[in-house]
Amino acid sequence: MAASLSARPPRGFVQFLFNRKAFCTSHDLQQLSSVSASTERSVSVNDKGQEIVIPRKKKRDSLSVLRALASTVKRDPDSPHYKYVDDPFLIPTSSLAKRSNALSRESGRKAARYILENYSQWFNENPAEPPVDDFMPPKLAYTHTEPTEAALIERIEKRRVNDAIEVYKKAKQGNVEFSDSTCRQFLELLCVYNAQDPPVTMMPEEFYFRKDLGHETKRPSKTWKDDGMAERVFDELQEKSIEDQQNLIRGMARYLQTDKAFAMYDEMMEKKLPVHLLTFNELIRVATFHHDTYETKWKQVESLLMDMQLCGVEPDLTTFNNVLFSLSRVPYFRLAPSLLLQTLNEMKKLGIEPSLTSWKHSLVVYYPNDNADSNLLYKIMDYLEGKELTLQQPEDAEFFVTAMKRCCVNHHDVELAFRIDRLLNTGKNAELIGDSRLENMYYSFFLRLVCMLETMDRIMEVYQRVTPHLWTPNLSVLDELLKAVELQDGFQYLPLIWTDLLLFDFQRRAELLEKLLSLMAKQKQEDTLQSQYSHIAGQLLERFKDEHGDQRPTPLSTGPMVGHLITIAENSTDHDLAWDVFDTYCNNKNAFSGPPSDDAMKSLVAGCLERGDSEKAMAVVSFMESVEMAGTGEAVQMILDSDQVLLSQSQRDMLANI
Amino acid sequence: MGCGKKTQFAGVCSWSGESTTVVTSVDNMIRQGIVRLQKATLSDITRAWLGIQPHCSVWHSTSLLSNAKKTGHESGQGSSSSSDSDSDPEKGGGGVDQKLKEAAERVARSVPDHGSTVQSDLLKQLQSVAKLSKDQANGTPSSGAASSKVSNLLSGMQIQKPSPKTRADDGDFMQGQRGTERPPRGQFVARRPPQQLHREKVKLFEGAALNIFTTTDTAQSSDVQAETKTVERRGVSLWEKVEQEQLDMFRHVPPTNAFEEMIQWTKEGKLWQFPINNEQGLDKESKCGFHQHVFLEDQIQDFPHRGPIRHFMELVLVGLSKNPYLTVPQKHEHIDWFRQYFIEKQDILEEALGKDGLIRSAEAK
Repeated sequence: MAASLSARPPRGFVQFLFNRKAFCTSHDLQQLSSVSASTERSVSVNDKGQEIVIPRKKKRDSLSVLRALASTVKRDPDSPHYKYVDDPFLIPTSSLAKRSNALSRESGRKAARYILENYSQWFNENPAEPPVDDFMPPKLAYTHTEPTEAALIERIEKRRVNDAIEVYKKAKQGNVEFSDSTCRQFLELLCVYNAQDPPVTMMPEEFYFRKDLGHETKRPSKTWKDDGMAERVFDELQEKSIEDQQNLIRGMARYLQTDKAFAMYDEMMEKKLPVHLLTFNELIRVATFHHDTYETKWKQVESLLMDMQLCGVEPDLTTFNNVLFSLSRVPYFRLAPSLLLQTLNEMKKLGIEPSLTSWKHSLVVYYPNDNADSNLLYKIMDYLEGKELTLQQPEDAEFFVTAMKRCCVNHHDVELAFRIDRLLNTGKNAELIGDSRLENMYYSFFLRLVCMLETMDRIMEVYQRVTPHLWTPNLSVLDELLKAVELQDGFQYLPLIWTDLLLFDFQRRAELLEKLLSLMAKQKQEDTLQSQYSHIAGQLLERFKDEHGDQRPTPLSTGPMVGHLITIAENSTDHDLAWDVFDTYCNNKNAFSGPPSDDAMKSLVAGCLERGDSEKAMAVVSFMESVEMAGTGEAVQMILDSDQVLLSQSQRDMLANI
Repeated sequence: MGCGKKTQFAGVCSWSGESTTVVTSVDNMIRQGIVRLQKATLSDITRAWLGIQPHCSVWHSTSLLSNAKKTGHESGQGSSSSSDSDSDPEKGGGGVDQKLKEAAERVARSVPDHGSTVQSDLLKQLQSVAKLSKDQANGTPSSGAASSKVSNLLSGMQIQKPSPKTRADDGDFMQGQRGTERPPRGQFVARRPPQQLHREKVKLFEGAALNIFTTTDTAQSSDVQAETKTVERRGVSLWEKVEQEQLDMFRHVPPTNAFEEMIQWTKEGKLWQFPINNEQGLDKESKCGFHQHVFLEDQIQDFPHRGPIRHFMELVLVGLSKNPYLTVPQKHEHIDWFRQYFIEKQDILEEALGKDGLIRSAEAK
């Protein structure tokens, strides 16, 4: 218990105290006391003349107990994510259900916030002691409403750009003078947000699903407002300080008004003004948007770096990541790979540790398309093996997807894929998987590769570890899985896959279900398995009868599926089921697209003959004839040849006509 | 030279077919263009500027040259073929060969709108390139103007790319997975098929670095760093704040168990902190010692020392000292209220009690 209470590795003496073991011998005491590393300790001597060293009290903050407890709980692959935990029937397993579940919970929270903001008069009494600020309505109203300087400052602080612009315009009309510092702050605000309101901060789940909801922008494009508010305010400043110019440069660079940004930057350089690190970072990031040829783009980046050196500004991780980003935008540049390596060496020289973003950009440069071949990914994995990674920049989250994609598409190497997966699962790296779309792509690539190249057992091991709670597969993965089952005779897993289809809500996907049933019907399996198959067939038929009666869409929807069901039933010698299926089919022909296969019909006829039921056999054959199946002749022959059935003369006549 | 030329060449480059939109071939084109300019024959120049292929049908497909008469076209072609024989790099200082001049005129004639500018531009360029090639042939360092003009010319050209293609992410990822099975979309057809790229064996962290930055000694650099940081960081700028907030958005992970949820709530201030401290949140209160609550006699120093008022106030103090629900300022306020009340009623009290009724009497003494 004590071990879990202390989040950090326990000092020898403290552990001794709390362990309910017998007292240590003096020898142990001395060993233990030599382990603790604090410098100032109170040393006392006990009656045996030995030193007892009392270590200093550790400062624990308010979260350490909880953190210690949380560290004892690991992710259980067989249980759903914490946010989905609920009544077992209500736990979502299909991807659509997961998304709706998470988003609907969050929309409830959002609604609560909305009420708190808009009906704040009902929430002003807060009896909690000490008061909880989060439950109090937020103070959205402005204290200053006339166009004064204080009003402008208030709006700048609250980052309400549009309101600030209004106040500014009104004040200018009313000839109110603003102090320089206010104008500067205003300019900074305008440059950061390009003279429009900052985007509404999304709630966590919304943010996680933002790409599925269509919130993410695709291509970077120039959005800077030329001759907009920012430039106006800049022009109206009497003294354009270095900070102001840099703010404007940064704003223009960020919103891709590269011509003006670089023009201003060149001016500043000519006047030998000191330029800040942030400005350099922004400019390096957009250098590739400024010029047209690879050479000039790289030259621009290089000259910026040299200017940094001249100005004595120390680069940091962001600088180099932006350099790598610029390189990743020109992956076909013939010098790009060598320049990339040189940049990494430079980072090493300066003692800056490359982050996941750097590795991601390196991958983009070395694998610009799906046919590139390189050993960079291996080297990167060697370097990163076993490391605990943290998110230092938003683009770090794209590393794992890119790595897995390149491993699967360019290298087709399963071992490497497992290595990447192991890296993802060390420590807390799983947090770096990014949002839902990136996660989907990662697992999709991973599982497809595994299905293509691994043995059945290994495949199912990985498959069962990952689904359904860690991730829900999509159609392409299940396709590959069924292919693997077919190739590797993994028929014993088909019932599991069927239940998974139900879980993931794919049972109404006709192609997938057809493929599954065709595999089930392929050959006669041993008894238990076959009986499971026939049970599934029975279930499908039951469902059909239920749902078709209620006019609801049902999984059993095509003729070939019916054929497979018949075959499965016959294989498990459940002739009644087979006949039931056939009967249902004949009665509801318009519910099915396509006819059952020949072999299925023939096996049905064979089944009928075994039972000695000539009526049914006749019915089947006449159906086959009506649909003009190719196997009708053979079926007729089968009936005529069989010695288990006595045919009446009318039946013989009918058969002769066919 | 200037803008006229620029726009003209913009037009020219845009109909150099789909192939030039792929940047490597544009790169090549420019390199070849530079090389060919140095040979300074009109045919080569026009070919380079018009997009490499000498037999391109570019004359037909643009508005700029759509009015080119057949004769002009033929003569243009004829001139280009005839001037092949004039592949004489040496043109003399400043002077340009007569045949080249005539060829330039013919080109200018075939361009309907901008004839005169075309001619003068071509001739100017021919002259400068002639000079440049002469310098370089002689091995003398050429003046920056000539060589830089060439690169300026070409760097000023705008390369028109086609309209942005498919969405980047999905297109790349999706195409990767299907390989050749999926039929290429319309835009993909225009692209050349992905080439086989072999990047040589990579060794991380070995070999040359950019060598732009130098590591200064640790002592110096830390001083300089400290200085620059104090000078430039007069508080975290809005840029950094915004980035930090964005990063926090990305870093946010939904809790994976109840403990993590409790951690989140504790951070938001919604949950008691462990180990439980009954006085959590009561910071002001923790700063006041108990003596301020209990020993309140000095608050009634200016009340009379005897009499019913004093008696009354002492009882009030006893009550207050036993009251655990009020804060110290609230208790002082309570006493203050009484003070004000008695001051208001001073006249009546003085009548009734004499000196024992006055509050200010202690001060006056």
